[in-house]
Amino acid sequence: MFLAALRLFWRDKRTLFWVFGVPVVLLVFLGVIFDAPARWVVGVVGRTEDPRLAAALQDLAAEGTFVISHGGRESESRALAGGKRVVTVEETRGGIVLAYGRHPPSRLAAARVEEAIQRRHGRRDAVTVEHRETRVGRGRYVDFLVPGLLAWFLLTSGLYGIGYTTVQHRQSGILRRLRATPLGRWTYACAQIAARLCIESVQMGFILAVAALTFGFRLARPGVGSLLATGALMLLGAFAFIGLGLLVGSRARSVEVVGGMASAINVPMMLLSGVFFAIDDVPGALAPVVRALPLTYLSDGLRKVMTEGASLGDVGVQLGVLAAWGLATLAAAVRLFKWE
Amino acid sequence: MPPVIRVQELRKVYGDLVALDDVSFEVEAGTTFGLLGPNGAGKTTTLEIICGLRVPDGGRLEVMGESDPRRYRDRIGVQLQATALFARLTVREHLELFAGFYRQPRPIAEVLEMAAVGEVAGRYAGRLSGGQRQRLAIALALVGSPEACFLDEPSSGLDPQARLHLRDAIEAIKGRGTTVVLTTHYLEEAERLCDQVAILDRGRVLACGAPRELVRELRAEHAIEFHAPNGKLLPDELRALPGSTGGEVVGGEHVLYSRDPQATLDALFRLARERDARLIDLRVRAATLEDLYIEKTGRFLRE
Repeated sequence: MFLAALRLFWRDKRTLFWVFGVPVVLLVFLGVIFDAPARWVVGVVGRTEDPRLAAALQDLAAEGTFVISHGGRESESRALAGGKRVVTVEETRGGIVLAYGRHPPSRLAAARVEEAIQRRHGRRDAVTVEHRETRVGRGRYVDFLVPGLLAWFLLTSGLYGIGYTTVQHRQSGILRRLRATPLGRWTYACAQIAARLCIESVQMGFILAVAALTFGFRLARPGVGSLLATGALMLLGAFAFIGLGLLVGSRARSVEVVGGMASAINVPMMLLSGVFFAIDDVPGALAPVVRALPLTYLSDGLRKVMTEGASLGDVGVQLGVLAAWGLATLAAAVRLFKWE
Repeated sequence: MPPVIRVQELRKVYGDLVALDDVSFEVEAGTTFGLLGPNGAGKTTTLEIICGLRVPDGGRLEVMGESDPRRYRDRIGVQLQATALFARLTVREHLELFAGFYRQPRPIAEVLEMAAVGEVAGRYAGRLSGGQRQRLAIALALVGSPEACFLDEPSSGLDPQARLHLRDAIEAIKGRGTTVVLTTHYLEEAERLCDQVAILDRGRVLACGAPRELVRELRAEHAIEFHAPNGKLLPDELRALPGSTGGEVVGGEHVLYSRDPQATLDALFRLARERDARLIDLRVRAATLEDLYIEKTGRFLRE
């Protein structure tokens, strides 16, 4: 049954595309888009009379992060409201007015613009401060993204892969035929799990290889310990999600029903568990929900190990929660399982 | 020796429909047993209950001394009516897969030969013809070296050539001492293949026994069939003809049973001439299981 499941997977070119093609495209796409250097546009309203202001703006433009744009008051303030300017600068009779939005990049940009202007007006440093930008490894979006994506693809692969396969077998009557043989439901479930784990280990290796080759992604602390911890997290995470997939597929009669159920599980997890963006402050009411989701534990655990260099012992909680999810869903799935 | 299968007063109800109404029969080891009847008679339901795919609402079931299907699943082989296969596994891979389920699998090469699927062993199940699919389904029923083998409508939808192949396959199974239970609505097939048959109609067993003995129990050994389109011959008159033992009108056709066909025909012709009735499609033949069915139900088996 295990061997047959692997063969069937390999021979279905559409699922191959979903398991290997889509993750790589998504990884490269997101990695490239969000790792492009930010260009902050500073809008200058009207003309600048003061040469020191003009010089300050030139300093900013020379730095590389800022782009200076000129325009009328109306158009610049509209551009600011629409997020096309981080800051607008206007010379008035009494001094200079900086306008900026409420989100952190805009406020940060305003501080930097003011700093440049103050400097040209003669502000001096009180103490020497050295700036160092981290360029290698940690700190890039890709380094945040890869562990989250790996976790999320384990979720979709387990949930949809197992859910659809089970229902297709039920719909076509293959499960009914298998029921007339000595094959038990546990054996069937275990064969599906084993085959899925094989497929997913190849999938994970493939995505990691692509991440390493295209973005130079590396483990924070390369070595056997980190690999072991990563492997353990992935294994238990995969187990938890395959359990969810089996549960979703245990009774459903049509592919549509499974698709709906799987998406109802997938979408909230994807949004709440911080796969693509860090979610540090979850609204109070949602916090317990987020804390219960298995995807949160897997992506957090993977991030700790892969980008922060944590060891196996540091992610014990994550491992425990994932194992509990896996066992609970598997037991429920086998109990609810229907051959027809 | 106790029977391999003993079914007693089996009942199955789907809503208002009584699918099985006290069905009872026994199957001896090493024999071929046929469940006969039109669609909806309860053949498939009976077979699937024995195989553990459906739960009866009443009655007793004993297969090889066990009444829990889980305890004898390893010792039976099943071919279901709608054959579900993995489209992207080859014939050989199917057999290997199913062989893995049983404690004593039969060598794959032997199964390929028995079910005559050797020449398509490397082909995906999704690319097989109807007859080849059916033979693969039967091969899957044989792969566990079963003591009893259940075939549901093994010959339906097959062309005559494929049906001959199939007949050989079933003979091959019988030749190895395996008990075979099959359902069919082809009466000739049942008469040729089966040692014992049970005729089912609307969930009831109408008759049960060896085909030849069942026919012998008929009121007569010959059947005279004809059409009399202008309706001038009345069934009661026909039944009263010399030598006649009974008759029915089924689907517009008269079937007249006779112990002495010569005398009955003589009288029939005389009566037709007197009434100016035309006799069309007149045939005389030896009685068959079909006649037994008509006698019991007043209907043709295949309509």
